[in-house]
Amino acid sequence: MTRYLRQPMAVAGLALLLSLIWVALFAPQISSSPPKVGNADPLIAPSGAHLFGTDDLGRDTFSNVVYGTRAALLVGLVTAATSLALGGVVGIVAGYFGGYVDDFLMRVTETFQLMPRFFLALLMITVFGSGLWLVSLVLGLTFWPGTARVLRAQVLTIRGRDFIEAARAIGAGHMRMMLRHILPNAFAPVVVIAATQVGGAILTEAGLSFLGLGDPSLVTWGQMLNDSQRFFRTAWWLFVFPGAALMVTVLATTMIADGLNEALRPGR
Amino acid sequence: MDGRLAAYVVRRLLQAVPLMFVVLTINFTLVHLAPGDPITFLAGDQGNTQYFAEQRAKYDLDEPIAQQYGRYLLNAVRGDFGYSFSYGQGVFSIILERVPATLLLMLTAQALASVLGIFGGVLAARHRGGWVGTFIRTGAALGYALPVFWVGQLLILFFAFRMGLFPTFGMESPRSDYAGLRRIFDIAVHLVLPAVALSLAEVGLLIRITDASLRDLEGADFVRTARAKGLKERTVTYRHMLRNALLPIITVLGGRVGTLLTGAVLVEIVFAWPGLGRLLFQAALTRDYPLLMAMFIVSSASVVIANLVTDIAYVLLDPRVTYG
Amino acid sequence: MEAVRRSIPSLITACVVVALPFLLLACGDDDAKPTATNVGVGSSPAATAAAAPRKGGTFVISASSDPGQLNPAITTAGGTHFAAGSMYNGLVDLDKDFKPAPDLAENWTVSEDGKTYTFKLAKGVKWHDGVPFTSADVKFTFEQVLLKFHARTKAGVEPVLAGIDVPDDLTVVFRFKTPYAPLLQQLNVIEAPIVAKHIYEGTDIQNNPANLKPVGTGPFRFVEYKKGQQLTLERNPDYFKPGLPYFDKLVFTIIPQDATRVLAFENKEVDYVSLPGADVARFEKLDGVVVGRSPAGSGGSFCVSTLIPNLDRTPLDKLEIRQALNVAIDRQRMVKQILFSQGDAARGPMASTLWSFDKLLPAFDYNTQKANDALESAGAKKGADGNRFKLTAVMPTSQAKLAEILKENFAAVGVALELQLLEVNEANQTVFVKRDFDLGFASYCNGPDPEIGVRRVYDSTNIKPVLFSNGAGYRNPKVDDLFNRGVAEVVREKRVPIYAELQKTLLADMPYFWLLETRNAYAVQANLKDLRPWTSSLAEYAWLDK
Repeated sequence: MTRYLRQPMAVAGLALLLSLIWVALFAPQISSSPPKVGNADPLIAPSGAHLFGTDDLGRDTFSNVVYGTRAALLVGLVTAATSLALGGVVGIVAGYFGGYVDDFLMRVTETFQLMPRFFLALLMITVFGSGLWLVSLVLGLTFWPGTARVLRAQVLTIRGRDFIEAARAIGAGHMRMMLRHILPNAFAPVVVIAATQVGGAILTEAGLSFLGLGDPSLVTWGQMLNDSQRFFRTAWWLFVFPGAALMVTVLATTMIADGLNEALRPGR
Repeated sequence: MDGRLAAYVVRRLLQAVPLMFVVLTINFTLVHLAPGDPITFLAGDQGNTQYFAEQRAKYDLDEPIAQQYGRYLLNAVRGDFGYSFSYGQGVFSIILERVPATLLLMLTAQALASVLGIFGGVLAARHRGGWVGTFIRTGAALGYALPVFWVGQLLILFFAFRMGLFPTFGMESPRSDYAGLRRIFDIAVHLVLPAVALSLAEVGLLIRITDASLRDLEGADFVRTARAKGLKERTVTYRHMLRNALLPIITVLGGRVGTLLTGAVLVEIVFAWPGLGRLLFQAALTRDYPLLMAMFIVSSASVVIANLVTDIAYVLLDPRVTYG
Repeated sequence: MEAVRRSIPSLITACVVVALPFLLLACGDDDAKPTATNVGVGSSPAATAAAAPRKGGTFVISASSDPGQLNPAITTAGGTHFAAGSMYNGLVDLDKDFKPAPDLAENWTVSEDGKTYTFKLAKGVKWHDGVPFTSADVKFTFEQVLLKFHARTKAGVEPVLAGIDVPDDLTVVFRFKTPYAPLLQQLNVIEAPIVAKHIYEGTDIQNNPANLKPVGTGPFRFVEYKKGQQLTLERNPDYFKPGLPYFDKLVFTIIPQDATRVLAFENKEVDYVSLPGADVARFEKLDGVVVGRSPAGSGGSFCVSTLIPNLDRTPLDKLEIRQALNVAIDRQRMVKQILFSQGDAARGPMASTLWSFDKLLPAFDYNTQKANDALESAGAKKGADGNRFKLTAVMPTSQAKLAEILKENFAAVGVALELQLLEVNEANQTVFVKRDFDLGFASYCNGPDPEIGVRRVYDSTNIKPVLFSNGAGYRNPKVDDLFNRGVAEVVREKRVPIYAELQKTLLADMPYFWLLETRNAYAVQANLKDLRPWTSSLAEYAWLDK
């Protein structure tokens, strides 16, 4: 923990992410109007009244960017959680039991790891329509092999250690072994990969939304960027702010992952 | 040695079979779970029932599901992925037409990223702690976090439009019939901005990996020996450390093909680059299911192939690895 | 209409007449050519000097979508017509006012009873491969191609056509079962492009290789088609209209993103661009650029964005409720914020640019108070949650902004609108086929005749699970009868009062909410003259001034 906090970049990343979470939670208080409600003149340039200007329907861009934080974090977290749940189970089971179980699970993992997630997500959206939850779940289903592999590798190094042998000697069951003894000790690297996946999922969803395949019932930054296409030369603020928000969010997750990685490095 | 390598390749290819099976099954299932009726796209806005029926029959939509599935797998094995609704043509040939443009873009971006990323990573490693190192590392994190479509449009705005250095779109000038060298030059000029946009994230990633791998080698025996021999730091870094650091870098590159392809899709749409990405976009808008499914298959296959190539490169570069 | 333009499926399916948003009327500068007169909006008066057309040059046109295939006779898809129209001709051209003018037919006569049309074909017309064009091509095209595969011409002509005769190589006779007024509006290169019999006869027409390598009679002939990238055409040196065309080369280049397309135009890499509404004002101030606006797209697609109430469901089956809601809609805001003033508020079931439109119709009111009162007196009291009732609106995602405004408008009168934004195909299926909606949406496009595109929306015989049919489920025998009288009357002046009465009846019944008349805007480099953006053969007379 102290090793993490000793790195300025990592601390900045964490601070950024915490403030983004704060923004998402208190969006109604922070923003000046509800999302997608046009109560101002259209296409006003940024000013005191409208920090990020307004869009073509007179909607406050700042408020939309603020609400967009919710969608972005939701995608990131749901994806990472799905990936963690699936990859976690597969990784621990494979690492803990080894042998044929491991072989089989790793073949499955490799199969899914090779699946191009953007193409799969795009296909799903065109078939089922674009819901944020659907996208998050599909992304989670394609991100889990990474988690599984990291966790398995970690479990393999822990498995032989003394305290595990001791626990086994006093007759702990498989479930208990995996959940109480192995998982807590294998968790740190998993957090690193989860942080990376949050960033990756946010970018992927933004790419889909940019193609006009985003969830129409929500404000997402990718959609805002897509909408801004028609105002590229007339209203720069519609293009700049959602893109910057996207960049900052992904940057935060990257910095956190880097910091964690650094803190977990053996030696030094 | 060669025989064993061949056997290894064959075995790896066989491992790809389950993936392709899963991909094909997902495809087939999706289409038949689809809520909308793709037939309306074929029949247009005033199609009558008879016309709908004709089209349904043409695309086998009236047979029992199991029969359709069997036929689908069989056709896929034969390389027949069906007819594109919107192009009225076999999807495979449509996709093949687009591959060269996408490949050109991806390879250029990857080459650019490799050079800049590895060089930047070495610089960052050599100046660790200094402001140069911090600067490069921050830049790398930024490059990795930039949405590729966003940065692409900023590049067009500044370098093509404001500064007039490059064309804003496309792969070739529409007004001229260049041939030979001039054509190659024309394409190269069009290639610069999309390739840069696509490579940024890869550059960022490569800097970080190169930096990290070099750092992991800091304490290695052969590095200490080299230093003890009084070799110049530059020589130690490039001759001895980088060569060893290349292996993890190659592994990462191989695993990035899917991501690179995704980036290429977005970049192609922004820059009107005539490759697979544009095709995918068009197919998504028109709900051209056979085309969308084939794109999914082709992208999966290309990821498999890229991984295979990476593995082979790995084996050839590192004699310690056995054909496991 | 901006929202429509961004979505290709809605573009292809939503309009009965090819609603090519990028094909627009009114180039606005030069009146030198009799058949290429312009509606002068945003024109630069200095350019009106009658300079002689100059030969040569390349015309680069940016398009937002790929044509896919290049046979305009087998499809109504906008992208195909936009790209392929320059390679073909129809029998009868339409000028910018949609008046018939000679094309492949030099002249024609219509019998007294309106049942027989006789066309004399132009002499010396050759296909691009050198084979002479004859009346057999016309007969073949109609019988084997258009009436089978061209959705609009099939729907319009097939039910009434008795037969096509070719007494000699240069004469074609159309015989109808009943008097048929709109034929001359249905023979241009968009509605009825003529294809070559010797190329298509006895083949699988939809998969004929010539669909990707067309052989036409048009002013330009095919050179190369790189799918998704560009289509290159060159001047047809043997074109039957002497001296035409002027350009050496025509290049259609495909740029999907609005932002990139506009930048490419401003960088002078392309000569023609369809303009996003927000850019129009800015472009009008640019030097060296001419902005044109169009009351119609290619072939006369006067599109009316329409909200479809499900008349089989309460409470929208009640006339008073519909009338009240109609007053709650802020059309002016839609015009300003969605169309960027590149269009108008709709005033009734027909586009105001259509000849049959009743010019006396007033604009719709927008009065929240009045709407509230009317709902109150219609018995729709507010519930505990402040809502009178709830409606589900099924709309395509491309209309998201319109939906948002409607939701705000209806909320102001205590009507909760639950938006179901679906992909356009799914939305259309839900509305027209499954009929699971309170409010639906369609951009109903009118052809140059009310028979083409208007009738299907209101005719009670057209209540069927077919896209862009009578989606409301509206039945009024009087309306059906008025349509029948209108089509059987050959003289246009006599048709006008029939259609006026029709409009009055429809407005009284309010079976739909007519929202917006969409217009399109485009820009060309100022030295480009005599563009004909209302047809799909847009560069036939175009030339480049120094």
